[in-house]
Amino acid sequence: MLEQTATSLVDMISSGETTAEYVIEQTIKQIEDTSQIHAFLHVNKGAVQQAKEIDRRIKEGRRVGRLAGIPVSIKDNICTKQYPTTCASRMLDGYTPPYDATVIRRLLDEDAIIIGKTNMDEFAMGLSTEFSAYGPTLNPHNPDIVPGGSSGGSAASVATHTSTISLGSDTGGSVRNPASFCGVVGFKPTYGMISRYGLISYANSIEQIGPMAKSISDISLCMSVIAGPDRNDNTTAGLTSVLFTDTHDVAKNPKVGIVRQMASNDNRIQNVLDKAVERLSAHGCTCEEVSLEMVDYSVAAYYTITSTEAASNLARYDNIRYGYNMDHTGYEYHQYITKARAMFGAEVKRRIIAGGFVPSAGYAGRYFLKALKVKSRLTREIDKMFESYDYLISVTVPILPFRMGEKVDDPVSMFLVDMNTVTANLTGKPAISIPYGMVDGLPVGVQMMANTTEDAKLLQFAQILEEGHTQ
Amino acid sequence: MITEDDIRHVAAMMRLDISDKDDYAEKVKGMLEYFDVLDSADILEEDILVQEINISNLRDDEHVSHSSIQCKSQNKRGHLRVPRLG
Amino acid sequence: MIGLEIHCQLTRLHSKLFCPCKADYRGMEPNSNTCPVCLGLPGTLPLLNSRAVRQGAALAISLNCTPPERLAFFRKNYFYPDLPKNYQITQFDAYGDTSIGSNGIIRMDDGAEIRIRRIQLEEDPGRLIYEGGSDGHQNTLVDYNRAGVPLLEIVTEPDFDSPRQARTFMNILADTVKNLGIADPHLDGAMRADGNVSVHGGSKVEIKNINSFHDLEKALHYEMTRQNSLHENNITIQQETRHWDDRRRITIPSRTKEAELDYRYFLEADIPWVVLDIDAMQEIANSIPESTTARRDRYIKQYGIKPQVASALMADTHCCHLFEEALTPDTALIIANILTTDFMGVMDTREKRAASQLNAEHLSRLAALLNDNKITRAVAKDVLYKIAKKGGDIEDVLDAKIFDSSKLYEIISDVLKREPTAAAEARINPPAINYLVGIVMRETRGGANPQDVLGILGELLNR
Repeated sequence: MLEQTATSLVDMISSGETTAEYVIEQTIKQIEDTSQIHAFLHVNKGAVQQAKEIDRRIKEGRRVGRLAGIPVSIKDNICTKQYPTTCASRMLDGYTPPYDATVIRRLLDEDAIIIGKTNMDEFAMGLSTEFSAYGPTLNPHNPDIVPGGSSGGSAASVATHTSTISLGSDTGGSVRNPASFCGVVGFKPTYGMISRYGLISYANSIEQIGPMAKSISDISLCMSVIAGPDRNDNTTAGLTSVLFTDTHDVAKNPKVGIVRQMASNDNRIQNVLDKAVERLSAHGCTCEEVSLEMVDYSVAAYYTITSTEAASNLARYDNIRYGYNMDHTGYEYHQYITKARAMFGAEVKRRIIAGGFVPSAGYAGRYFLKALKVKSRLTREIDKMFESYDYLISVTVPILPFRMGEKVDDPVSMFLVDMNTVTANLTGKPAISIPYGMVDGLPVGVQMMANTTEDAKLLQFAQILEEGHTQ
Repeated sequence: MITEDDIRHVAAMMRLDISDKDDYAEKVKGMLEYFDVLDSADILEEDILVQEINISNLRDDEHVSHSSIQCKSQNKRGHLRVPRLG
Repeated sequence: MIGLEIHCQLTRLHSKLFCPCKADYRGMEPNSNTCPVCLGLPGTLPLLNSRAVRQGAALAISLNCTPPERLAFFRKNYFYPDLPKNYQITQFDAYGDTSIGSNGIIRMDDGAEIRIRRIQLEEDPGRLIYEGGSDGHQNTLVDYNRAGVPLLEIVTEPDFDSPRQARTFMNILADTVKNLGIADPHLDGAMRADGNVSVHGGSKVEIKNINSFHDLEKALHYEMTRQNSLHENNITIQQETRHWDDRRRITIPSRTKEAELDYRYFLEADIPWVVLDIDAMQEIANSIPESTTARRDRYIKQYGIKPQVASALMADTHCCHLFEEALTPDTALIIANILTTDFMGVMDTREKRAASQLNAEHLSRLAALLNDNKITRAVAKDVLYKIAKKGGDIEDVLDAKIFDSSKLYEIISDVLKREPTAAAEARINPPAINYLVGIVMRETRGGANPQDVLGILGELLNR
């Protein structure tokens, strides 16, 4: 039952073949059975009650939403009025926001059940979910291996069927990387396609909320609910609504560019990509190698920009207006907030310090402006590429899912894991990771990118690579 | 050259105490040194690209009142108490 | 040399710069004018107020600034309890001129030109209250009602020669924002100025915490005197920030060292760059009322009003409105003079003038009477005083007062008939005429002009 996609579950629930209550009860039981994976930071105790309410409305023949009764999990950096939202940080221990993120309101309007809040790297800084202040999430395929990150809890939850759809956030690959490591589909939309109102910022100039699911059509269904302009987010204003559930005209024989700079040194991983390319070719695509020169600088530009924005975005956590209990008797203000901010984890502190350097008076031109220029050149380069090619392809992550603890102490070696994913964030393009093979019993994902606002076309095209796809 | 003192200075500016056991100076230095790769990118003449918005897409000047939000340590009159400023 | 950095709240807006809370926070319960956005709660985003952009652009145009093609916002990062996000969203020109205005100029009456370096649209911080006074306080209280209120920061070049000139500039600026209908400069805290002073090419000293235009002049004066005396004694002037102590009337060094602050300005990506295309700018320009300087020049040219009189008029929006409403081409000059000498003489503050019952109808009637020589300047002045203070109808006041020449002839002839002895005496002994003048003045209850009375008496006696 829980292996079903959202698309079929919705049909089963609304036709009376099963009930939302049963689906949610099974899901809660599954969460308990897989608790050692530690995908969740918070589970919704009222979920069954909410499901019953939906069943009652179906019985009465009243209209229900397009996600009626579907268990959806939410990364813990997306604000939920009913449930704590901690960003997996001690700084926000017990914090419950006074408002719902736009995506949450849109999900609830379509009768989705928020099943729980998922684990993540603290403030989304990381790609292994080992930097959660509440302990790591394990990879469902092998408990010694990381699930990827920073949306590791979301990916693990979809992989263990404890939610049918999960919302993560993708700043430099934080949806696609764990999707690849856990063997699920993960999508990073065009920048501005989904409202960020209620997404707790890490690097606001490039990040997007992104759905994760077992099938691409579930991603499309979810996008059709949560995407579209929002008056609460000025960065969504320029984009018109994209129809995600319609069939789009796509090129008859699409041209696909294989990005040379994103090749993996690991032949076993490269073989997965070759198979995907073969399949695309068999479907009439023209696939050829292309070069994006700026990719070589993309990771440095990415970390320069993200650390700068993070240092500023995380400045508000001073424990003055909200936060954990710490008496301020006897403290001077600056002493107090320094003491209070000790609750940040080491990785967060490192990035804040680096982010304090980058725009500081002596270094502003040295790092930040150069990073912006690399970002701009990369965008022009990829825009030019999309004049000749419809899609770009690579593996999602150039290495296999790694062992817990393997990279924790080496930030720079961790950086390189992001090599293939940050380009979509720096250029604002939509990108998807689709599971496309196993190596050593671990999933490997393939990534495809498309031009700005071609999100729905990309999702439709990517179905060629979906298992069981026939055409 | 970024020194340990520079790191300590910036950490203090960011209101972070780095006296715990993690080797911040070494790791942050490693990160910043990695950023130096940007020096070799041939992009000095590049114009920066930014997202744009039309003035007509900005919010209208309308007042909407919000139900009051309770902050930590508010006194009876509604003021927030914060530690003294030194 | 003196430069100014002025903060002007856009008090006429309905909502804050980035959220729909009230821009007018005055008189509200502490922390009752807040929402998730202006409290900087996690996950919230700034939503730029389009009218604030239009008003900022209107001021930029009025101060002859070059408007930018695109408007960019930056974060100014520093930790302080009045900043809910621990950064302030403001503007900065790191990537070309992207502030709401730059390179403007204001021409002063004395011919001096004051250059405007730039105008920035930014958010006001919250308000800090020190429990138990600003010294040795144990607690700090914060009220975020003001946090996010739209501000325009206007920075001048160091072009002022004197504290008096800086104060005059503030008055011109106050009139400009009032004339544009974007701010009420006399509301408490709505218009604040920091000064920077340097003498003999020495270091620049910034002076903050100045609460009125009057104190601005005093603070700048004190600081110039202080620096000059240091200079005379060969003591190096430190670059620093000082506070104006309005109780002791001196400037004192600030506790926070501004020079050590590193604001780490960088782009605020939550607000895309606002495109100010030609159409948008034209629409804003069209909505701007005639500027005070343009109007002043027009008054001088069109009505032959003296520059000082025109300036005095422009300096008071209320008088300006009265003038515009009352004038005819024939009477403009007379009305301008009545307003700037008589009215401003009897009502010596803006507040008194604004509260006065004198209206445009009064003025145009008085001016017509003067223009037709129906009344003398002295009578006009007297009537104006009475109306300005108590209101009422011109004709009623005049009935008791007004004596045109024919009526005066009648009264004086009657007096001469009743007083033949005194008339004869006056013909022989000229000083004796004063007795007759006294009788006429009594008859007219002081309303006649003694000069007129004397003239007519002389004429009739010599006949």
